Amino acid sequence: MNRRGVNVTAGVAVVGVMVAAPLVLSGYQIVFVLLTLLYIGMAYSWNLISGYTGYLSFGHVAFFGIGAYTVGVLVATHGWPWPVAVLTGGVLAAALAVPLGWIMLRLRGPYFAIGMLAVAEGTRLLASVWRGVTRGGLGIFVTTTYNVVPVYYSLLGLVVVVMTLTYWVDNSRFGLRLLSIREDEDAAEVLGIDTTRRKLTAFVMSAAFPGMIGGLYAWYIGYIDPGSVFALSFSLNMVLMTLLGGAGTFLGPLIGGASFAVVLESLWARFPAYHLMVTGVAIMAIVLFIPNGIVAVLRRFGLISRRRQFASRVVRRSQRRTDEGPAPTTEKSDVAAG
Amino acid sequence: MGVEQLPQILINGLLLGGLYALIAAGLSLVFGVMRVINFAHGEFVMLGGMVTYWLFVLYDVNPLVSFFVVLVGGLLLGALVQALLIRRVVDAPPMMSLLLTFGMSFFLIGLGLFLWENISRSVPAYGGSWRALGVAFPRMRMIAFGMSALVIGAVFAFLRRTRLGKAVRATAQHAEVAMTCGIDVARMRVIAFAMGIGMATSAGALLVTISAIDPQVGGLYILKAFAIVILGGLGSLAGALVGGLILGLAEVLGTFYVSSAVGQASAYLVLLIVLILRPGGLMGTAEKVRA
Repeated sequence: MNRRGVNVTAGVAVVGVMVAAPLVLSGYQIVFVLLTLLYIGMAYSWNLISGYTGYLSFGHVAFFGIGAYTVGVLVATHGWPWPVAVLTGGVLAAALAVPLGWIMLRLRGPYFAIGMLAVAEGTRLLASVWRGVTRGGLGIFVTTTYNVVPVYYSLLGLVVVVMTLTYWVDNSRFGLRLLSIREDEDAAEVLGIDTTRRKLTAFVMSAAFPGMIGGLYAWYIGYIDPGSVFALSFSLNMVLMTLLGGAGTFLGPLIGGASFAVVLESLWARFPAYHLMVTGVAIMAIVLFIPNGIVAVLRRFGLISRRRQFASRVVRRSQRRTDEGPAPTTEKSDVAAG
Repeated sequence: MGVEQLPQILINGLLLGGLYALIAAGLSLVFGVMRVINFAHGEFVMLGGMVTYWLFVLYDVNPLVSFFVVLVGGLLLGALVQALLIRRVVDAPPMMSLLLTFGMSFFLIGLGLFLWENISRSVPAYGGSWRALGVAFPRMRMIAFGMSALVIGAVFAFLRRTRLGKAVRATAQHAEVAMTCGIDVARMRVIAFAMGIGMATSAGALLVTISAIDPQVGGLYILKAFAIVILGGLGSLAGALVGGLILGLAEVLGTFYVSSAVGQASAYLVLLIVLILRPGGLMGTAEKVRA
């Protein structure tokens, strides 16, 4: 069997185990895996725009919150069936991402990051003051039923979809174009890449999934208010998990999200007083010591091969030609390949 | 409605804006010299305020005395942070410094919650107002405005009038050329970051006498500071001054004439409008900011 066959078989096997998991796991364990899936899905969404194009969004929680409120309003107020409401949340988030991205993606670097932060705070404020629809700070009671198993399978499905999408992006010309934007947007434009269109496509894709995941979260948790579903910590966690795993890679969000969930559960949840401090130190340590994530470390030890990956092959070949200055060459090519 | 209150509102807005300008000027200085956006800037403001509160509660220190203590403490802390952390990411891709300071901000919020709990704190000082021309000038706000002006003026004079300040400005203009001219760029960056943090912590000392602060208040002020420096132009001290006064006025006018929600949201509105229409800011350095 060739490597591709091995990968596909491994993927199918993992999904099979995940499908069977609720039959054998205890209630607590299912919730743990459910939240892990939620984290992983969020990390994959963020990775699509910020990992591949380098446009660092600190405001992705806006889409999560929009999805959560879509489900809250449609289910609780209008009595829609929840799967339809969840899909509507995703569509709405993606639809809003079009004009938003069109405006915000013209900004570069820190301006984009700050702008998205303001967008997220703005949506939270809107949810607080638009009382007619959102009931403001009172929040919305979405449901009183216990929906862990359906939410589990929905999240599993979403994660499989977003991973498949990422796999495609990672191995396509589209993904390569996104990476070229990250490395040097002006150069990408000179080479004839319609950077605005590619960025916008990636942005809309990366908004749709948090919309649906936010909707599922609302259906799972049962009660939402502006402070909880627009919490800055969701945006932060997306950044943290993706970087931990490796931004702009196929496996990064999976590894980062899973490690994040395990660490959160085993360590931080027991020391709530130190939670933020540990998070802060973790981010700083990642930036200083493994800026390219766990995937880059694994790759260095030969545990992950990139041989079959179209994008990295081309990038690496061009990197070898261009990187001959005294710059920190190894790190640079890691970034490009990552 | 309410035209006769206008002079009073304008005074309140300007007094508020002076303090905002001090916070924003520190952020802008750091960006100008290193192209590093300090996401933790608001947390240093919080730290300054909380230490002032501590000194007042534990040792009964006058906040105006604490102001100088906190200012010096901020300078030292800033130099330390630059030497230990920021130095390592100045030449890395901008994403790295953004994330490093983002992590630092979370660490400081956590530290604040650990030391001071999630409770609003304030220091009462110099209540009452002076009256002139039918307008009330709240005493503490006047003092805070004066102190802010003093610090901003001192930084301005340092940058414009001293050799060292000139070296800092040269580093801001072009680090590599400055280096070839024999300027110790690393040291200039330490000075710039120390001054930026000193401005933040001293602003916090003034802030805690005017409005209550809690460990999570930094996020609010960093957004205001972002709005101001983007309005005035990242890296421009004069821009931070003008932007601060404009935001102060916008908030007070919005609150009085429309609603308090609009007043509170004016920072976001200013931020988004400027980012969309004029991302270089009113007087920013000619920097490539849009595609």
